[in-house]
Amino acid sequence: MQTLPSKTFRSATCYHCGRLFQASTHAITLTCPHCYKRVGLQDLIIHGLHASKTLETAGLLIVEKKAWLKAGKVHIGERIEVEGRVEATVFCEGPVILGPRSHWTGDLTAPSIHISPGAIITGGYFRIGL
Amino acid sequence: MSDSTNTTVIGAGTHIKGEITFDTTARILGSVEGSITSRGDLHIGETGQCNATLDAARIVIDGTVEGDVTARERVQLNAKAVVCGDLTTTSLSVAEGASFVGYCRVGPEASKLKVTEPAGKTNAAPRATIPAASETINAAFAGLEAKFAAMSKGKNQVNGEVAASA
Repeated sequence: MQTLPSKTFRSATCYHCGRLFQASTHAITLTCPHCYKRVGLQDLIIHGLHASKTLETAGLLIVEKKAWLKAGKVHIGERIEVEGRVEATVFCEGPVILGPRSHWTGDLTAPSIHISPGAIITGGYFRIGL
Repeated sequence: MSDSTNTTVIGAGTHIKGEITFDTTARILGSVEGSITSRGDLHIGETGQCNATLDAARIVIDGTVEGDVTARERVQLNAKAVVCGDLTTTSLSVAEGASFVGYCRVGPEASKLKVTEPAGKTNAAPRATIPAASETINAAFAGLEAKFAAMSKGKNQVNGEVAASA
């Protein structure tokens, strides 16, 4: 797993209370000014196999080609781009983009989804656009 | 979608309850309750409301669908589409603004798999499957019926004997 090079400015949404706040571009984690809980701000890139119980960030998640994310619960604040394989229960506050060779297994809650032709979804309860 | 000459249109303000089968392209602008099957394309218009299961080669949804959607080739959910039900197709396109709630299977193997057992639902209780009545069950019932008949016959005979002696 790698972190993306940071940009100049970032506004993030707390995945605990759902409120928007401003964060330093260099911040990796900080305390939410509204609910005082720890919020991760890293942009996550999955290269190989990554297995974990929970994965939470206010940034974005990229699962690269041939990468495999296997997790219990995933909460992403910005967006998700999948080129590899995901097996998880995912809640994303931004769009989810499934690439042409992506493989998705698990539940998904997201405002929108883009599924490229060739993507495979094997089951899972989807809540899109609600 | 094919040209309008081969398209069957269920107009707005029409309510149909039952099973509809189309040999060509169909366009639903009214409301349908039951099931819709099409050999060609199926288009649910903006005013269309389907409380039905949809089965077609290609399905384009602009309206509201409450029921399972199965397409052999492609499902397209446009911006105003609202779908509540299980979705099985080879290729799926969801536009920004569309909403979909239900189990989803997409891919070339999707139509071969059953939607009844959600793979991603780990803590969900497995759905019970009731096996069809087999010959052994029928035979057992037949045996029971014969047994009951014999018992009732015996009881009548005993009653008859008691009545005769009285």
